[in-house]
Amino acid sequence: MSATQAIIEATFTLFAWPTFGWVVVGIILGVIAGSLPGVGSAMGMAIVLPLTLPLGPVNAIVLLVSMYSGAMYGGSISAILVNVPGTGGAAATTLDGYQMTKQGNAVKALAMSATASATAGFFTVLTLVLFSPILIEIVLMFGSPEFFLMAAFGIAMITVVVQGSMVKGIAAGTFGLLLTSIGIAPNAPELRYTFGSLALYDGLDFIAALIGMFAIAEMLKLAAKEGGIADEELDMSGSVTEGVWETFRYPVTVVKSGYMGMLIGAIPGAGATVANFFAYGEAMRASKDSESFGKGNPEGVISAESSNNGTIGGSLIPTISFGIPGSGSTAVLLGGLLMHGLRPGPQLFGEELATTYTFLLALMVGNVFIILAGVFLVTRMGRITQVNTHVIIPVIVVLSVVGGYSLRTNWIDVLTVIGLGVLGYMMVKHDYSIIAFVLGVVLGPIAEENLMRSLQLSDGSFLIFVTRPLSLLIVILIIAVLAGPYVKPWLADRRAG
Amino acid sequence: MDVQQTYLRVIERISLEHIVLLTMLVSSVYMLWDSFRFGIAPAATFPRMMGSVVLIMTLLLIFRSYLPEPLRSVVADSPDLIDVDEDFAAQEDDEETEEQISVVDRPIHDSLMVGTLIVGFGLLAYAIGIMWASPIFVAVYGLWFRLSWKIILLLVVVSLLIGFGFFEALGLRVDRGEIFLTEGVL
Repeated sequence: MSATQAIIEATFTLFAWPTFGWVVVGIILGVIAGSLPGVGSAMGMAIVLPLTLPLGPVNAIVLLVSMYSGAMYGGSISAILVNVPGTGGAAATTLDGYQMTKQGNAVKALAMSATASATAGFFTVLTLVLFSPILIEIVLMFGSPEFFLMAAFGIAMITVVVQGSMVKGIAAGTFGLLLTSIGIAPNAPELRYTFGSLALYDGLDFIAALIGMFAIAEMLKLAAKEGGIADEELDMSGSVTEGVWETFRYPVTVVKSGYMGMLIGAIPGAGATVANFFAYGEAMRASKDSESFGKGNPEGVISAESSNNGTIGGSLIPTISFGIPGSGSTAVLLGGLLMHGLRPGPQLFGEELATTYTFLLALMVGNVFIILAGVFLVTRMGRITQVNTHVIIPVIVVLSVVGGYSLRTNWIDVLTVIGLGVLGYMMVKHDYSIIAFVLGVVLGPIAEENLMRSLQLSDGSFLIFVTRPLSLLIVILIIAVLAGPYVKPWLADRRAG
Repeated sequence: MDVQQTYLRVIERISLEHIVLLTMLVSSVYMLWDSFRFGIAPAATFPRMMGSVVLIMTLLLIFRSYLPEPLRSVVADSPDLIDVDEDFAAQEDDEETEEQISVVDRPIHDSLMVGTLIVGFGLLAYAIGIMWASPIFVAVYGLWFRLSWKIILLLVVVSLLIGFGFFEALGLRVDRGEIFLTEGVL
């Protein structure tokens, strides 16, 4: 099937009922999850993941990507209204957004945020769709050795980009990979680490691991924070239309920040938080009125919000091409793809090309609903931020446990949800990357399968990973990524000395 | 010495990181050792590779204080490949610190209490069924955090509705326990 045929088929699928309805549901759920600090997109998606089991693959993925997009905008609501970003990707939005609220322009700032998010989100995903034929060619060049190395590359990238020592990141990522070797081996009828229990024959369920790591761990963290998010009465003043038009006064900022977000989003581990600050910093540097940044400058909100929705298109590139999620949300999305039998790489760009385009188009169409939500529901959104965290926590815990049990009606999954949730909390507290761990758990089976297939092709020789030009290139990239942070200062010292 | 003092002394001595490292160390050693008993050799390749890396990284982290300087900084320090402006980073750190301060007068740290409640919820759910354990969990949670009776009642109803929703929509036997109510209630 050609790309054009696939796009036409995807358009018909998307605008058919109930798929289109799932776009709306996903955007609304995402906005709610994103606007609740401590919940956010990854956790919201992880909770919803088991509920997508009865849906078909297309509807399930459309729902998840729409939630992802909605949550990116939702994160700005609490950032603007109460100075607490709902997601990390809205951290820089607080700098000018909250100042605008204090100046009586809360509604204007929220409308600007919706317009900037939707516009940048639309153009970056459109770019991804337009460049997808090139991406398809690249993906089809990859074989088993390359896919195994890309998994290693993804974990290597995350360990150097996220906060904390690289050794902690590698330990977390490989521990995730190690846990996936529980159960029957992929290419051999050997039972591993099952202790004779039938419940462990199929290993740990990666969806249960995602729920534990993103929902339970985050709830334990949130439990230490006292009471509601916003106790004071919110001042919802300002003009919606003024906010929408104000955004279009800065087209260069919207486009530049959106594409910066897209580029940074494509780096595994970097994500929306980094993009948010980069775009904000660049907008401040390029502005003639840089001194007003941090004091309620609308351009500050526009740059920050354009960039975080721009990361969505970028983060999907490594996720759907090589199975390397760039963030927690894309890790959950990858989990959703695998749960519904969709393998990233050749399958998504081959026989399932129409499905891939359906969810890319859903992201584009979803941006229209973000603007609609921002314009028509904006005055009511403030109420979401006033929900007491201690009302949210028990509900999410119950949903997580039931969701875990619903995966395979196996109590091992409930144990995984709770056990890894507690472990995840401890890891977060000491800067062990849970994204690297989750990536390991999700990628483990694919990585092992590709490793074993590569070794079968080479009669057991590991030289296959350096004798193929593309494999060698990835090996060099892995070494450069891991050694780079230490070689860079050494080189700088030598030049200075 | 009362229970609270003992608890505080234990907390002072054992950091959560020790538990994380111990979990990784014990798991990797066991999984490496057990991989030598596999009947089919290729099935051991992946766990051996990963187990070895986890073991080496864990040992490096455990003994990082005793490592010579260049190696110690590689193991302990953050590489900071992507530099976010220092002012912004400082602001983020401040926010994090403010968020983590919980102004409470309860004898146990809230996260520890919630962790204990969640583990208890899991065990109770296994024994009597998720649907019946959920209202008990949310009620105890609400009492611990001194929520109003109206909110606790609302949470109890919501938790029952969640269980019932899964029972109806997915046919999930959440009304059945593994020890009690094994035949189910609904």
